[in-house]
Amino acid sequence: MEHKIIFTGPVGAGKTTAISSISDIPVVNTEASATDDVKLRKSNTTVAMDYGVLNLDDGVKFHLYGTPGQERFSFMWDILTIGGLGLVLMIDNAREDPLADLEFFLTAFKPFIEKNAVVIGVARMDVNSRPGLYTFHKKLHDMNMNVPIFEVDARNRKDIKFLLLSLLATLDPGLKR
Amino acid sequence: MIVEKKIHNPSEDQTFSADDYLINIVKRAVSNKQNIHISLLGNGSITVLPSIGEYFNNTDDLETFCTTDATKLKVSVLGDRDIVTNDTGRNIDELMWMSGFHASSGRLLEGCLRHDVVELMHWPNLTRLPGTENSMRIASLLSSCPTSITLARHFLKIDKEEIYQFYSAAHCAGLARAVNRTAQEPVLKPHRNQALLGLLLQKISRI
Repeated sequence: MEHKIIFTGPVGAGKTTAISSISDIPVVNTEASATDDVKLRKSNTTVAMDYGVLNLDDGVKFHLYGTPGQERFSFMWDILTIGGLGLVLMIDNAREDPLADLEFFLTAFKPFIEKNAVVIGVARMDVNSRPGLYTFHKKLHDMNMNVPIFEVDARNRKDIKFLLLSLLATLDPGLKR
Repeated sequence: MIVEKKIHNPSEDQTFSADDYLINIVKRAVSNKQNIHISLLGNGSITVLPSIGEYFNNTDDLETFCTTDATKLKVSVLGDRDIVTNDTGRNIDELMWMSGFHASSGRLLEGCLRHDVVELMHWPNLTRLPGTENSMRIASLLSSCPTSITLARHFLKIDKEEIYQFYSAAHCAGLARAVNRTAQEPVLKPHRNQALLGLLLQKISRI
């Protein structure tokens, strides 16, 4: 059985970058040139998935999968979550409506989240500080959720480490270092 | 100089008063909706703007601000014309967390009790705020399974100072509330893949 954590979120939120920050191997991308409005944000976009690995002790491999951000590739989301332990949702605070992105992805992955766990990283708050985390908390409260949500920089290894630590704490708070 | 409280019974928990530190200075400013400037000789200043819910850090050593006796902090109220900034500050709740966290140093905030059944209403922004080694575990437990500080400590197998510091900080930041009911021992089953998660935890901790 494959052991994995899935990174998801809208286009350009930093999923690929986040996986690259911590993967023990160079991330395997499935990118193509962006053709639609995405090309205004970035030249390439993920079309199937990103793949990285964490090599654990005892020779166990833990797989990191990044979903494509565009909704037209959403058929991949269900495929990639099969057997997953948890979800990391990356939100780009510089997008037009980050709260709508949050609601969209939490709703899309709701069945998976209910059986497992989700943590949320809000990126690019240095570019656009609004909405602030307080507003995100209100949104989560309205959705009847109380999950970890942190300000992150997807390039920062320590921030991604914190996301994963909070995911593990959510899955089992009894687990101790 | 911080006034030390004499502990007559060694088994009693050490507590601290919000009045003795930055905490209540900021709390009063927020409740009175007063914009204030706080300075500490040789250590810069902090500007707190409850009118917009933000603070601005003009010091290299915020921890010292948070642990210094309140009588040493110089506070001045700002008029509207004194506030000119194009910068974006940080949320005042974060300043309250830091104030409580650093002032605590393992002590319990007065008014908080170790038998309080505590619910964490939302997670603190631990990527940008100080925390302890087990802050994530404490946050996870108290947000999903509110229980007393004492029972939480035993369940998580952590020192009381650590959970007191977390609770004090969370209380100051308005993240935690005491729920008025009898404490119940947390009933959380270990994860079905706990062995695997343990290996993953070891790996991630080394990053």
